[in-house]
Amino acid sequence: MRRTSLAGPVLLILIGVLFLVRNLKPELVSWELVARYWPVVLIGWGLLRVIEILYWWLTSRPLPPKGLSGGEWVLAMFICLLGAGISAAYRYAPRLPPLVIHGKTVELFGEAYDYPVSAKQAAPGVRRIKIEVPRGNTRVMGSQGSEIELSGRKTIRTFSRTLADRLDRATAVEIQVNGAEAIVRVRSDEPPLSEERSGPVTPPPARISTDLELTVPRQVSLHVSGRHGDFDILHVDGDVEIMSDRAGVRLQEIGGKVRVELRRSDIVRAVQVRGSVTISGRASDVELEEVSGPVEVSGYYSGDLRFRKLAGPLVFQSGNTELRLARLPGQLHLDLGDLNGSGIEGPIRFRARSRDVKLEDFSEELDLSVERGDLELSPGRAPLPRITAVTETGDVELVIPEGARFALEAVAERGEVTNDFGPPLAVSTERRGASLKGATGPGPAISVRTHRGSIWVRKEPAGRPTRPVEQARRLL
Amino acid sequence: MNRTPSSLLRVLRGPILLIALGVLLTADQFTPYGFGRTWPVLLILYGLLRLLEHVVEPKPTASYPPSRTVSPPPSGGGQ
Repeated sequence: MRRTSLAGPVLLILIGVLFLVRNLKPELVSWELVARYWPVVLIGWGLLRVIEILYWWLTSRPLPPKGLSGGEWVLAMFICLLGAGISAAYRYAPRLPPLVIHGKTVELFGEAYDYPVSAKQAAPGVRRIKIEVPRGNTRVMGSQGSEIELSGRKTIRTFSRTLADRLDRATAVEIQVNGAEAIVRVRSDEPPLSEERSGPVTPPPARISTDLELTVPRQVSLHVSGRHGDFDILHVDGDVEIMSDRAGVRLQEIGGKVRVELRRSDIVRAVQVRGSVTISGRASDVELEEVSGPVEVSGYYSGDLRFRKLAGPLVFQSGNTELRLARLPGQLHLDLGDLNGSGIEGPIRFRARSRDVKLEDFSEELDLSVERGDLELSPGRAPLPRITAVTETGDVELVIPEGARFALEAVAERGEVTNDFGPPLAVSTERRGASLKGATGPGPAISVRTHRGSIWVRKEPAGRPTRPVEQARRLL
Repeated sequence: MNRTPSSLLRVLRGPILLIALGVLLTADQFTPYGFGRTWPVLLILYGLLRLLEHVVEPKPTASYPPSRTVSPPPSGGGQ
């Protein structure tokens, strides 16, 4: 006769009771309980089985051929997988970023617990402040005082209030002043969960983010680092260094050099910087305005880049795109499809694979080469810049002011050339293309070439209203 | 009748391994010893249980009564 084990029914009763209690009194059975104690089910099952077998043995009943059948092992493995899954979800889920569906954020796991944060410390001789906030938005404002003052809010997303309280204590925000350097940071040195494993450190099942508002003496330099969160920095006279995996950065009225290194960013914006600006990383939009020092932007940028009133040279590099210029009293806009600019001082150099280029009012020298794209160039005022403009596929429109001196050579290898400038320029038609040559006297060489496309040269009447560059000069 | 001590051990082998698995997974939750490091314990335990069966098994020539047809082969495949 085959003996049936008690383990199956007992397991079912246990699971049923667990769900019933969870439904009736949710506070008694938490996910934490299930996530941490599920292996006890295996132990209990095994013990029950051992007791059964010993009982059969002692009462001289026949023993089954196997202690656990193949099907029971499969069930045990299934419990292991389910338990490990719940455990992993409990450990990692609250740290997942919220799901955004149609503009609404949906938090899937855990609850948010908020804690106020505030601290104040005299920092009379401090010249440099390091700010380390792993996650959260930070706003730093320079002030006339000599204190570091912070206020803000910490949000801990986890499963229970007790765990949140413990994590809050373990991640206190502190200000340390050591001579000329101060550190503002979210502490995380003590292991947040004492009974967690000590091998590879497992972070607690929580997402902690700290939004801080800092007031600092304005003559300091800042070194800010974080993993995730935006930085707003205003009225600081020293240098500013920002390093983050993912951040939006907004800077205003910075007295020193600015250096920004980002892995990922939606926007980097800097207005009124007296030193140099160096930005590297991957970002979407970049906006720089009124920068006195040299500007260097490198990495990969996929959004809109806007530059205005740069008093020093600009070097931009992103993938195959390269842009250099000497000064930008006007403005420049660059995105993945277009380069538009006016009021630019050269030498200007632009290299790109595919861009439509429209430049107005530029000086000194233009060296432009794109593989695909239409060019629209109107240097705008005498003396004209030297121009070398090449597009493999695209039309070129060149507008030359009346009375300017230059020597032009425009070649459309497969396309038409239209001369609306008039003499002394003359069109000569070749086999499949055309060219336009001529000079109005000793002046800069203008060379325009398109492999596949047409060229249109026209004259801009004299006496046009004031150019943007002069307006910008007056403003600077 | 399969009433030899070795058959008892064989029947108990599954539940004992299950208990050991549960203990290791509990240790994974509450102690620094993660399952990723302690799993060889299961192999050792399985080996020990098999060894113990061989040790307590009576000599086939000496003590196999006519009821041999009922008892499963002495070293039958495990779980």
